[in-house]
Amino acid sequence: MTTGAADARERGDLTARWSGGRSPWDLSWGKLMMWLFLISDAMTFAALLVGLWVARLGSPAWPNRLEIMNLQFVAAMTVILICSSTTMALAVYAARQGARRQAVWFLTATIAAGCLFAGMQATEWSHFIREGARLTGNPWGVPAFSFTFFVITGLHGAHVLGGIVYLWIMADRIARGLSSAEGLEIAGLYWGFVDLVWVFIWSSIYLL
Amino acid sequence: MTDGHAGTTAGQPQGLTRLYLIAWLVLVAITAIEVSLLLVFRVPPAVRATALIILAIMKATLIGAYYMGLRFERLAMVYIAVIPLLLLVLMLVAVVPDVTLLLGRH
Repeated sequence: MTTGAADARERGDLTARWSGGRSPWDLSWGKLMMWLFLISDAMTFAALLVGLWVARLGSPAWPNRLEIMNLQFVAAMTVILICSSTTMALAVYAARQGARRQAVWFLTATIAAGCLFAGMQATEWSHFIREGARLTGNPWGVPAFSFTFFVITGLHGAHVLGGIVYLWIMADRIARGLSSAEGLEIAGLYWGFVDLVWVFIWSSIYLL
Repeated sequence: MTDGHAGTTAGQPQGLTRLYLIAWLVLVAITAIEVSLLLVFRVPPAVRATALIILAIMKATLIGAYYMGLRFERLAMVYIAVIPLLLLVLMLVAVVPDVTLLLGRH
């Protein structure tokens, strides 16, 4: 009996939620728009990663990354990005609790970690270029190897740099009381996405 | 709209700091396992690849659920985020036959 009543209530809720006049997602427009942007951005990265896998599986040989790249160094980059996502989530949480000062400190830590990641990526690129890798060719005889590396990590790096600027502006706005906790949460979605995409880039380019 | 969002926030559990730190710990541990699968343990390539894919999916789920807050959103929102990714897997399956064509050329 209780289950039947609960089912009926749920059906009623669903009808009320989807019959128009209100957002069935219960999200603010800003948050929903950021989600839609991130999903379309995910499709861009997905296309590049699928391209990488088609090129790689279609190639008779693929260079051994362990001989060319420093895996421990890139693992450290990965951990730094994870740390930055954590401080970002903590910044959003602090802002929601009304602890503006704390939120700004966590944001500063996130920006610092982002800068460190970008700097390490620049070092990684320099090392790869010194080894002879170029966009159109490399000493290992598989041009698609360096092409996919530069394009995919480059696009991700551009997202990191864009994110640093975005978070910098948000830190300033939060410090001056111009942005709400939700504004910061939307920025947090973007930064979480940067980390999420790196999970697949790290796996596809360095690990698998 | 902000009121609607505040309702969602109010529904979130308190003490998220602990949850975020646990997520951080798990993510770092998974990264350590990933690296050790290549540098420390000697495992057959197929097993290693399967493990790495599963670990990557676990990491992505943790980030999406906690750091991007999907765990606290309506299920309808989770569908928006997850369904395109399922379609992506279909796309990957669709382009695999092209790979065999490319291989045939070599």
